Amino acid sequence: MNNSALSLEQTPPLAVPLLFMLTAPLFPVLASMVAMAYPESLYNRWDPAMLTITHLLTLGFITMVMVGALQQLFPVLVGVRLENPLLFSRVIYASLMTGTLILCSGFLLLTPVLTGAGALLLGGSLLWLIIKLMSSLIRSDATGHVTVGMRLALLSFLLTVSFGLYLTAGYTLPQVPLQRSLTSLHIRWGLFGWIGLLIFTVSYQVVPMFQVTPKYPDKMIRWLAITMFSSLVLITIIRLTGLLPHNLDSGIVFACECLMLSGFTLFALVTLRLQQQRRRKVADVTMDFWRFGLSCLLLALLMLALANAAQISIGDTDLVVGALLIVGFAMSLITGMLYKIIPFLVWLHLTNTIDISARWQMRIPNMKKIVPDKHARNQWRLHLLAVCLIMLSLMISSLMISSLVFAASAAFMLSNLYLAFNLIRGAAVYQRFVRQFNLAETD
Amino acid sequence: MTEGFFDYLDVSEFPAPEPLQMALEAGEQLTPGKFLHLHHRRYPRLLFGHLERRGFEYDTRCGPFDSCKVFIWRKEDNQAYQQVLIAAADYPGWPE
Repeated sequence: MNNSALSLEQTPPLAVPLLFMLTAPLFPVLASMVAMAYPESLYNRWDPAMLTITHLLTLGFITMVMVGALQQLFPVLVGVRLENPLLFSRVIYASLMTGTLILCSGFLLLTPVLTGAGALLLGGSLLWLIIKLMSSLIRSDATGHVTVGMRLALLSFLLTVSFGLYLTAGYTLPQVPLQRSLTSLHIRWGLFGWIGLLIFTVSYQVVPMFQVTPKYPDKMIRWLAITMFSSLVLITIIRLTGLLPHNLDSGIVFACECLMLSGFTLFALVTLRLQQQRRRKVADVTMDFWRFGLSCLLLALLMLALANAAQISIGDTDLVVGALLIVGFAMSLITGMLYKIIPFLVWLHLTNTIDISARWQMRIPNMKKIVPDKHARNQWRLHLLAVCLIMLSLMISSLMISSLVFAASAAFMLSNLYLAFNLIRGAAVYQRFVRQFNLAETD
Repeated sequence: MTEGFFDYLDVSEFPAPEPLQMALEAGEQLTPGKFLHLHHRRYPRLLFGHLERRGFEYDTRCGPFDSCKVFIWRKEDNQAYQQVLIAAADYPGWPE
């Protein structure tokens, strides 16, 4: 007999992940408003409005969804249930939301007090989250590669937050020197560590599960995240200590960067290959989001490789690569996955309510009916248009066409409002079903 | 597919959560003396809690090419259980 069943009690209440996932699209809407108000900001990475937009997307959307997903995934993948999950998630959610808004207001209004207050709120809550999740991982009996991947992603998150807090201190406190050179480490750990490694780890589980592909190669699952993390550690040590002779340290950093570019290229190519090999080749909007997102990743990596190796620059490379990685790659993959995760969670919790009520003959709405494919596909088209317009705006920055920025921002805003509508409508199916059939709720 | 003492259900080409939904629905259709032979491409971790709450027992085995076989029968259906013992003997136990 097999006793590896997941108990009902291990699944966190539905409100835990939904709180984060349903709010996340509103932050890109705010980012669009900022871009509309300050179109010139798109051409300078240090512009206060650009810093605001970047953090609304990375903290408000990407981190918001990933933190919600982590709280859902922990019991399922690691076998650890967090204590008081609802209270914990509400505190983290409130701090993440208000902290992001205050931090971004500080950037936009050039008010260091606000920036500092937002950073403190974010730093405190995110460090609490990281420590709680890490201690749960250490206590857990799970020893698989998922656990390793999550540990490395959380350590990367810890370093991203730490560098962010130090940079904010330099910006807000006169006694702390502002070391802008640390920004590159903050970005590297954030994009390639926290976001990249968590996407790797989650992909190894969800791509075969939701897209019916073959498994990722075992060696890749075992070594890729570790190699990427080690490269980031080496780059950080060299950048921070400066102990090695200049030629040697730039050589090692270059080698590590090449290794990272190769690793992320490998991830994109293997995922695309696995998706080609899926068993049922039925139309699926998630696949479109993923293929586009992975293509954006490959393009960003190519541009980085060219910029590093041959000093070739297309437009403002930093901004274009940043947009490709944040909006093109991460947001596309996350949006595509939300179209699977939300219906899946609604379905799972409805199945649990049926179990509790012992009304096993009841039929739960099909996944496709929870978020209708037609609406998901319309939103996909808007997303594609928005990303293309954003890239176009950045590539022809010298012409300063503010109407193009306005069009890109409007498309991006509509796309995210549509996403919010789709997700909220999908989540509402749970409440409607429970009320309609007078079922006992799991939460 | 029905074959004498058991219903055979291959869910290996369906995305989550369809295999789980199909398995639970097939379980509800089991008549006395019959068991369900479920063929899945991966270990269906989420399925087992639902089976237990719905009054089923199960035995998980390794299938060919890393697939997973789950034999499902109603609790206290001794006739079905005896048939499972025979059918499951062809496959090694799933490693814990």
